[in-house]
Amino acid sequence: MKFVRAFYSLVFCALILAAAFSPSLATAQTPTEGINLQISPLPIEMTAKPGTSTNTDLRVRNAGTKTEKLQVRLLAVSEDNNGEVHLTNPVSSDEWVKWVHFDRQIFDAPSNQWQTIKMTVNVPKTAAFGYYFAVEYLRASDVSPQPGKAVTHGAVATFILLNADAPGAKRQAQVVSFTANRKSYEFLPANFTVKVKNAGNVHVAPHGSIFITKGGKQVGVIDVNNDKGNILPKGSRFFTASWNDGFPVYKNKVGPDGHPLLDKNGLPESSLSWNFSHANRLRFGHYTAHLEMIYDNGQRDEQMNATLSFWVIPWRIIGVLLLVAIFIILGLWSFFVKTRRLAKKIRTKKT
Amino acid sequence: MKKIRHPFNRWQSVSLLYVVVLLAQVFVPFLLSHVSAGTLTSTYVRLNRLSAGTTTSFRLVFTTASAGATSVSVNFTAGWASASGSVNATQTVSSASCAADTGATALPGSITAAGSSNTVTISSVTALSASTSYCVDLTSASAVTNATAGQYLPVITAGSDSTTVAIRTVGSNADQIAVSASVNPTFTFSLSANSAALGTLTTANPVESSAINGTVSTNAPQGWQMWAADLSGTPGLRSTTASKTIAYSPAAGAAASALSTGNEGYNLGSRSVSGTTCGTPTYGNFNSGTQYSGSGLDGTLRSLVSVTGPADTCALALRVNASISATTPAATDYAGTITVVAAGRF
Repeated sequence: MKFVRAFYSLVFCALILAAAFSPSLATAQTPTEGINLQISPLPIEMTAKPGTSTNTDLRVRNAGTKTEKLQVRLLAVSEDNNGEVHLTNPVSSDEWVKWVHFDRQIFDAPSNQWQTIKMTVNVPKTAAFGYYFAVEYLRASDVSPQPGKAVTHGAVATFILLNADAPGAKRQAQVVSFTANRKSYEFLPANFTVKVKNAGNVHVAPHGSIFITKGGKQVGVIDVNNDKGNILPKGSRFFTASWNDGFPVYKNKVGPDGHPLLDKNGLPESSLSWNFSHANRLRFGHYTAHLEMIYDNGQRDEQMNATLSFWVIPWRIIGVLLLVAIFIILGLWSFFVKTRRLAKKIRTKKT
Repeated sequence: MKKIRHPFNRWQSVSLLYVVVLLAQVFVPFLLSHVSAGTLTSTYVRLNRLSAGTTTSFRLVFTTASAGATSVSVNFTAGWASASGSVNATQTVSSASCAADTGATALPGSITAAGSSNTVTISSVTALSASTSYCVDLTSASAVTNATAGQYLPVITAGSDSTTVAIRTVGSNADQIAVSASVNPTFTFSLSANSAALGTLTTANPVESSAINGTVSTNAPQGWQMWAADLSGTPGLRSTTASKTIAYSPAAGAAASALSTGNEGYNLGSRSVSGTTCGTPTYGNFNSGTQYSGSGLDGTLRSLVSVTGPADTCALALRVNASISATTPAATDYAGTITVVAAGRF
């Protein structure tokens, strides 16, 4: 009897201890607010010889008010012929997935603290040229579907541009088109768009300038892709530049709160700006835009050129000046006619 | 012949002469017009750069002893020149701002200045008052060229008053503190809410949820992009109990169109980006200003918007729309999941 009592006491104590010391059940904490993450740096360019490893630190900060449990995962990246970037889940042919390792796949991110994740890429000997993927940061377990609601899961991603530096790398870019949004303008700005295609197997960052000339004389220079945006292999990218050094010139409208005003299509509204200190920049006539861009082909800078021409005809100003001239001429003509008649009258009276 | 007796003997003559000399020393200064040199006080020259070999402007502040000065000069002395210092012949002068800084009186007059040899002379000064503090700036960035590092004693003269001040030059650029800092590229993305409530769906009209804002801030110069996908096994608004999925309308990848009353449909719509700084946007198929309008999603991340340039709290408002038909099964557990991803462009 004593033994039985002791036994049940022991079991009871064990149960109490188990309840006290057992790890809390893995119930995911249900987030109650939208995700708010900050990452740095971006994008990340990595270069490694095949058969070597390279690593980088990825930093993410939970800018929300509550601790988040985050995870990192990989997405494949590509760029199409229209400059649009696509994020897709990796497929079996994406061999780079096996090369990438994180020191922490899932981690706690307390509010307002930076977390550093070390990413190592073991580039095999067979690797060559460019590999492009993104590291996505998202909640390890997000909000479950809720009746009557559409639940939103947020995530932020960092692009990784990996160059497996192997012989045969081909960096080649081509200007596909160089256009202005109009053939003729009344007033500036003249907006240019350059489409550049990457015909190589490694990403390139072409950059350069558009030189505006009139009658062989340079009247303006504007930068193109000064921040050296990259173009992925087989992809294209559009770069825009505006020549707005004129008088008068269209400028985007700004509301009283300092924010740009938008039209019904979400595009910025603009109005003519008359800065008379720039009156000597009244543009009129036939202009030529010369595009000159360069990119690093791995050994030297390669140049790409294109040219287009356009007109600037400030017809309203010309019209006003013509009207003024016509009135002056009419006035003078009327004066001379009257003077002649008067002289004739005087001569007639004398005779 | 009578001997002429002199009225004073030898000692009396010497004594008389001695007394006359003493009296002269006492009274002559008062008899002659009073022309004594005073000492300027509270005087300094502030070189605006102290680095040896550097050209600089400078400020002069002084307090007069006597009145009447109509010119002021700063003589940097031969010691300055012999130590590779110099004074520019061309000078510009102003007393417009020094008074507010120093509390002294702006040097009055239509003042002009010129340099010659080691001296800067300020002319056309309205007669100064006695015991008054004045200030003036020699504003040319090359008023003087600093001598080699060391101490120098320029002489300041205002009319009959003068004084010597001390200035010091230091080694090349030793008068500057180099400050360096770096700013990392960062990208911040947030969703204003976890979920969008659709409420009770009826055949009377489609329903539009309140907006969930996807907000981006970044200093990345290449801009940013936002995508959305429905990664649930069966994209759409699904009821488990009714085994029914209200499919996306239009289908994923199609241009935006509006749901119509009495027809089943579900879509995601976006409005224009707005915020403190938003670049130039290129919208995907989801953008529409029309109510209940949007496009469909599937397991592929589809572009909501791509925006050029940096952003400061640039928000894209997202709305979920749904409508039912008369035959849509009743259930209280219709639910959907939408994944939104944002990234800074490369």
